[in-house]
Amino acid sequence: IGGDLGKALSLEREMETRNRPWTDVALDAILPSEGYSILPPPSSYVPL
Amino acid sequence: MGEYSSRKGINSRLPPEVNRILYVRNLPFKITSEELYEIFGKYGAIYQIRLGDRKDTRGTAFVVYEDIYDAKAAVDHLSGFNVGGRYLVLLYYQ
Repeated sequence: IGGDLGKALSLEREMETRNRPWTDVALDAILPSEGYSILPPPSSYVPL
Repeated sequence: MGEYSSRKGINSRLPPEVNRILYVRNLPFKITSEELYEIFGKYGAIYQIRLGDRKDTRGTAFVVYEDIYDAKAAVDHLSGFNVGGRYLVLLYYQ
């Protein structure tokens, strides 16, 4: 698949990997746990 | 849905440094979870927030969004945002 369609598809795949769902394990590997505490979301928090 | 997420349809290519984890500096030391979720939640669903709780990490936080376009919207709109008299510094965490 050449041309625009190919580009669009590869872009979509790339964005899918950059937007894949998080896992706590993956995040713990990236972010420091020393010196930082995970904030519990407030009960009133409604994700958009 | 917030109007910021409406442009998710544009699958414009995002520069490589853009990602969903924002490193925030210059936060007031006594900022609360409610305030952080209020400020950052406007731009999209938040997966997790980690707030610095030691002398050397106080005033900084990591804000993890579910969606990369929301993270970009937050950086575009919140950089320099005044919270408690301090101007927020937002960086993509590498």
